[in-house]
Amino acid sequence: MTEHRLSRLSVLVAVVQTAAVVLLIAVPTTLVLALLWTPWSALGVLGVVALVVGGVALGSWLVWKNTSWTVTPEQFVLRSGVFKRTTRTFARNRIRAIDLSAGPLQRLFGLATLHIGTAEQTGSDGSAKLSPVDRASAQQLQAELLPRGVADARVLGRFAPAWLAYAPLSWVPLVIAAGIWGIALQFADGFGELAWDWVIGTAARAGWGVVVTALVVVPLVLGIIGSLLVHAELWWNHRLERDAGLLQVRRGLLTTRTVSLPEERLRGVRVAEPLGVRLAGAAQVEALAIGLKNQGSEGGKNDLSQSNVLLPYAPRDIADAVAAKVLETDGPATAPELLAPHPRQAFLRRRLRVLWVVLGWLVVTVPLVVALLPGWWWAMALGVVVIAAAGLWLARDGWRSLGHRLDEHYLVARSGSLHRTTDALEREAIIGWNVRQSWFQRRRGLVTLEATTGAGSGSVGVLDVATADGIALADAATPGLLTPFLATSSPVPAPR
Amino acid sequence: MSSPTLRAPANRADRRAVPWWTLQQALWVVPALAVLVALGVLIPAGRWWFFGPAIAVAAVGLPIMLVLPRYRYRNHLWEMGATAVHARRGWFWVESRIAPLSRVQTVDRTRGPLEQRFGLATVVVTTASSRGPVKISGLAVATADELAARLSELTEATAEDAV
Repeated sequence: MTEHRLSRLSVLVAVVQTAAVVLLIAVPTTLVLALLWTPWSALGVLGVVALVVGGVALGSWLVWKNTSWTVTPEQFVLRSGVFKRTTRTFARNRIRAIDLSAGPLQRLFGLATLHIGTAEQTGSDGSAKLSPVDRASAQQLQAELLPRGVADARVLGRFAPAWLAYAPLSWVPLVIAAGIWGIALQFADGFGELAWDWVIGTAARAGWGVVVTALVVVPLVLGIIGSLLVHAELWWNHRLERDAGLLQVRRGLLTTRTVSLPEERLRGVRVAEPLGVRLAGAAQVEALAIGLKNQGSEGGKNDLSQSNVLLPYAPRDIADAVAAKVLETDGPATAPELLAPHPRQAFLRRRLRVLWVVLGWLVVTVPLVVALLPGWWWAMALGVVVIAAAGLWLARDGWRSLGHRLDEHYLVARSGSLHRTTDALEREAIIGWNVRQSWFQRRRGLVTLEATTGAGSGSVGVLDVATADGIALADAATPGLLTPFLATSSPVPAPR
Repeated sequence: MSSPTLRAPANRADRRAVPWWTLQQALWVVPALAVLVALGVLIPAGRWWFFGPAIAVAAVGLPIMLVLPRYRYRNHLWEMGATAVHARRGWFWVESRIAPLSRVQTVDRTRGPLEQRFGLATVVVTTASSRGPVKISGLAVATADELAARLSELTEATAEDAV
């Protein structure tokens, strides 16, 4: 068996990277020291730079020397480690995903980073990272380790630059703005009194309006710009292809990535709509598959690498069409019109929650207003109005978003308001059921079902469905599984 | 027309589970109370700083110690059918979990130190789903062993690719 190594250029790349960073720090430092102390200090700095670069070169040479891998018919064996020699053996039929990425520097030298994933359900991440590898070897290894059929690449979806407009509508601008706010507050904390005086001074000169605008609008604008840049970097040149039993997502502007998903691992599709994006009529398509990291788009929305997204924010009908092509169904499985609505009781339940939030707001603000800030009672009242209005809208929207459908091959379930998801899960991928019912739900005749599956985040939820419909749905989706445990009498248990 | 509903599973936990759960809660309530009361007695200056929380701990902890184990005993039910296992817990928030034997990945029988003193064990059945493990606790050791053995046997018999 041939033993393969990392690219011979790995030392060079590491040295170039380090040298760039170190020089960035060293040049100004040298200038400052030369001016303040003695020109001979330049030699000292040069010495330090040489030491650092030399150290990095030695380190990466050692890594290069001690990393190698072989591919046998059954296994992928990776030997690595400079001080602690480790040999890791991956069973080839356990390898779930192969991911190629290349930063701008790596692309310049014709290199790439290979991520090999065998994520097991126990949660321990069995994965390996080979960096940097010759691009050609990386692609060859990718072809070898993933099962391939007859090659016939077909493009299922492609990013259109106009879709960048959807990026600021997601939660990312708010997250970035909050981050900027956090940093600003930290900064202001350091300066304490000075910062406060400065704010008051500016307000006195230019009016409070300007100050508030600056503090609120500027981070938001920066957030919007940031989200546009991040989205462009992640999704430029995006292409979703089906090629010989593999779903491949190619994307990236500065760092190019190729994520491969063997189709045997695919169990369904999720169409996700964050609120802003949904109101603009768009959605994104994610894969429900076994053994992908970043399971679930709720986690994915803050984790910008999003390795289970197949199509970024796109107009809803295009998203549905791409989802249908991925699943190879005749019509769009995830189309909203086909879903059965849930009972009005679900709306009443959500409406009650708004009441709790309003009460909570009052509990917190009434003592504050009474004891400390009597002039601000109008803010408290405004808060009540805003919370009630927004809450009622969300409650109604949340109820109208509920829906489900069972067809010959798929269980489709939709829920959520701030982040609405429509999951289409293969019926064969349903393992079992978690049936949850709170006392409040029991009174209203509702039940929440979770179809457990090995794909995605572990389950697909059918929320707040009428009890009889829910049990019938579970029974129909997995015939025979629930039958021994069903009773056609009242649900009050008679203990033996 | 009566529509089918999910009936409660047929079996309960062992009776000794009640003292076990009581002891589990006692292990934090009693020391917390003892420490707070002792500090309150020994430090007259800050007496109410300790007696206050002590009363809170007692008000919360004692009912939990007395009521929770019995609540769990009444509502922690399990049953093993020919093709699936069904476990249920809770009354205010009821959760039923059903897992088919053909998709079971592991069957674990565990006994913590307290469980060992009471002659009890816990059986956990996992599947490929991270949201799906079925946990049955408070079983007598013999029952747990039998259940685990039957589960393993039937899992082998109906084995498919467990994903």
